[in-house]
Amino acid sequence: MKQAILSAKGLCKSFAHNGGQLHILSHIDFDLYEGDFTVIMGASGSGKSTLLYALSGMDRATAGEVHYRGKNLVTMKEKDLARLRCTEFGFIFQQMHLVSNLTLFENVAVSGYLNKQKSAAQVRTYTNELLEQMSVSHIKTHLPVQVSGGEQQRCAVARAVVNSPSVLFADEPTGALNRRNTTEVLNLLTRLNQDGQSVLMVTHDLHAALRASRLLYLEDGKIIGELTLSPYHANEEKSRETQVNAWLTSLKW
Amino acid sequence: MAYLVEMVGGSMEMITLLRANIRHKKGSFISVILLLLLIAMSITTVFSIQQSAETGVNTSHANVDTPDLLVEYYEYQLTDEMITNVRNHNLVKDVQVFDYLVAIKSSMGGQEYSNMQLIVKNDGSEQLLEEDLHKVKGTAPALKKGEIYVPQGYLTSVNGKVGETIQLQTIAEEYTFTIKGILLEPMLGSASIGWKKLCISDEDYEQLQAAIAAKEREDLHGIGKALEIYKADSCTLSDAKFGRQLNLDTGVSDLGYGSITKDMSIQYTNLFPEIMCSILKVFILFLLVIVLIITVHSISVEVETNYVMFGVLKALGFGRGKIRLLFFMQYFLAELLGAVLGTLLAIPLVVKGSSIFVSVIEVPAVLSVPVGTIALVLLALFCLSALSIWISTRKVNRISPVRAIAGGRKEIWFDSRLKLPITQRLLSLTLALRQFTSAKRRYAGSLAIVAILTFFMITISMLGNTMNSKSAAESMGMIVTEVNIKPKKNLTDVEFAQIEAQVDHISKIKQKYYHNQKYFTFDGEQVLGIVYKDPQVIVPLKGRAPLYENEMVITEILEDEFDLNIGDEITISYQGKKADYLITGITQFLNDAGRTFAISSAGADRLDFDSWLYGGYSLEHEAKSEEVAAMLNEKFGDLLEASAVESMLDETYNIAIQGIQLIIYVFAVLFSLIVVHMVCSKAFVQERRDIGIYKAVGFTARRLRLQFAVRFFAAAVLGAGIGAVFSYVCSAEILSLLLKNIGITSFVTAFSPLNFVLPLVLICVSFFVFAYLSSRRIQKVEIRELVY
Repeated sequence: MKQAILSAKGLCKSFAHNGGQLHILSHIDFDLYEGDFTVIMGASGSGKSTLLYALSGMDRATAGEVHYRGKNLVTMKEKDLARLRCTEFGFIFQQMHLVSNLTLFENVAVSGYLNKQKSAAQVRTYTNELLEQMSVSHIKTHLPVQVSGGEQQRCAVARAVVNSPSVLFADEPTGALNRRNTTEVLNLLTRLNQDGQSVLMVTHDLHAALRASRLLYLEDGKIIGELTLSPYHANEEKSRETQVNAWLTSLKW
Repeated sequence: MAYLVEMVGGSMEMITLLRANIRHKKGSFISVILLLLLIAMSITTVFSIQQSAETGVNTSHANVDTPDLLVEYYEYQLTDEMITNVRNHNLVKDVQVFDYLVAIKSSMGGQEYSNMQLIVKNDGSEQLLEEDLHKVKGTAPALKKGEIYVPQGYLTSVNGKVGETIQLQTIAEEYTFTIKGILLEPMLGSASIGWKKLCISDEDYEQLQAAIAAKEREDLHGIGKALEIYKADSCTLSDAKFGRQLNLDTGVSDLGYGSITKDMSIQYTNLFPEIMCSILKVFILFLLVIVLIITVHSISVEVETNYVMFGVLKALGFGRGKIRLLFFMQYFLAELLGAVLGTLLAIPLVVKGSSIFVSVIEVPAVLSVPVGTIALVLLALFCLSALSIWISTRKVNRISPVRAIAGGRKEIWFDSRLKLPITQRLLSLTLALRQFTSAKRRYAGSLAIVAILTFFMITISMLGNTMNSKSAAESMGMIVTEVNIKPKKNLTDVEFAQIEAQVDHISKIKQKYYHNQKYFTFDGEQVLGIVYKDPQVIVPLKGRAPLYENEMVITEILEDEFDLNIGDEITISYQGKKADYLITGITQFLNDAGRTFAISSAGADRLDFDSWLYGGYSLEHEAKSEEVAAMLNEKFGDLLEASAVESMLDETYNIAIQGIQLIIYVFAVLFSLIVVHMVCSKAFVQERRDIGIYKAVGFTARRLRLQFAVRFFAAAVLGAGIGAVFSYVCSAEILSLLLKNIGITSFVTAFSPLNFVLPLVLICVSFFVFAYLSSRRIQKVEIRELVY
């Protein structure tokens, strides 16, 4: 039986709005299992990204609990949360969000340096390996503004995994990419997952969702549907698409 | 203006946007208000304090009805014929003659006053001041035997108080008096004027006069007369030109041993307030430059960060003129508010501070606000600011609505040849430096601001240091000694040699000065001349010191005033005797605000100048000055009186310089706070995405704040370095300009390490701390808000 490494219980998130409260997430219970590729889908404004931020310790839940290896992220100190984001979690943003004045290499290495579990030399070696794997090593001395969106996103993936995180969060990682770059990034994530990396991804792109082993559907801040799939194989894409489409249709997607 | 009214008056949309902008950018708005508040407050206070001091001096002169020209004579020098000639001169309205006795020195509680003092009778016309010098007490009551009135300048010099006793040394003997009050004496009362007028009872006067008369010899005089000469109402000449013309026509000053005009007295009295206020005015000017820099920076960043908004506004039909006007109104309104608030807040400061210089001018200050001047300065400030706002908003013209709507401005290109590697060990520091080098332009303004503040802080510290530095003072033409000797007779060369030999036993003499100074008629005007036994001690700025008896050096002040050059010949007269002298060099003296020349004693012999030479020794072992003075008094007591020199600068001036230093330091820190806050806020807006990313990958808020602070620290270090270099190179020039009024035309700097260390540390630490504090928003803002 798979082990849940991240779980949420009664998770709520609301924002102050016009003197009242705007409830984005309502009492969500959720488990992320080790080695899973979980994808959260839903319409715009359904709370997908908010859920991802709350689960990854980037944002605090208004109520409820988020447990990671026995620790409640909701009550954790900011300093400990920062440490967790550095050592245990990796995050890929829709808009890449590379630090604009650091080269691609430095963008990745900085996270490694911050972790301090490896020596500087080890971080540099591993960074080079990752950039090689992501096929961006030839442009590693470039600044983000000097490379394409796809290359930036591949670099962002390398940054997210440089500390070998337990969980890799991805918020619409292909949202800003063209078709070719989208496929490249999804292939990267799939390969990482196949190597044992737990991935939690938010998307509203059906093709991206096909990579998941587990799909969750969010509506009005609540999980209203779940679909479990077999591990992804490229040659089964067509049948997966039919299956997922049917599921989504049933949920009035 | 019509354009402004037209644009705003009928445009609710402009008012709506203006209100929204102010609401949205409260921080910038308040910062600009604060900066202008500080500047307007400083301008109002400094100009008013200076004018209050000047008005106080002028009012006191009017109260006492001081003459336009005062000429002192020994009794034998002044003839009735001369008085008649002067009285009948067409430029003269009135001439008053008063008698006086000469006190060659005096002392109070161990403090000696060695300038000439004129002892006059208490004739009932004198006025007294309150002891706090804030107002005139009224007409001086008749004095009893043993009582004396003295001007405040005297008390300041000897650190004395009313009620204490004073010993007056005449050529006859020493007399003791009790000080009963402070005399309102604007003509000679200021601490910056050497001569002093003291007032005693008729009975004492008669007694002293008899005693002095009995001791008078051909070469020793103690009874004098002074002419108080008033210009005719029709005379439009300045006091100096009036004195010169009168002297040319009657020889009135040639025959006297000294004279002073009312203008000169006012100039000397106001000298110190003027210098201090000039320094502050220059500082304010630099602060104004800082405000302009920060305004331009702020607008530039605002245009960049609000590119989309302005593009949308353009798309909605707002013209570039309207958008620029919006900026103009936003900043101008803040500046106007700041200026009004600053001027209002200055009122209590002006009321309290108007009397700040009374201990220097020695007469009550009269509260006076130069409204016109302040308004003009503020108007000039607004014009400059308006111009800088208008120029810096040119960027708005280039905003493209299409690009804005399509997703924003062009990415900022971050690259630098100063790219330092990011290292694990110094991760925060190297990242901070990368952020600094990647956005150099963002910090260029801060760098310039720090440079300006540091320059001023170092310069003012150095000024205080130099004023107390013997070597610098020597280089600037001051006679710096540790032991002074005052002869009791005209000493011969043999006697001087014997004295020197004895001094050498205790400490080697580094430099010896034998000199005397008197007023001579220099090309028709009374100018102070210094007679040196050995003129080679003079440090010339140009040319050389006099070698021959027909040679002289003059100051740059005289060079400019009389339009002279090296090689020109000037006629000098003394007591009716004339001789021509060739100018061989240009130097600087602080005596008589630099209106001074110097000749050799051999040269002075050509004018039958027979005054005794005073001596001064600069010792190799400065600490032995007391021992040397005691030895000289013991061994040569019948020939001279020796005294050890305690400090170069009067304590009042030291306190004043320290006060100015404190003001400049406080303003520098305040400006640092506001500037850092403004730049930090803008940087935060520009970098919020990067900050969010750093937070997302695990950087703590504290670490990011430290990085922020390190960047400002780096800017401060660089700026402070530039300021320090600039100060080292240029402060002498700037101080020479500022101190020209006291005769320093070529300022010699005397830097001590502390002059650099304290300002550098203060400004850098302030920047670091303020940047750390200002970046607290990093702590409060959630990652989701940052990563948009």
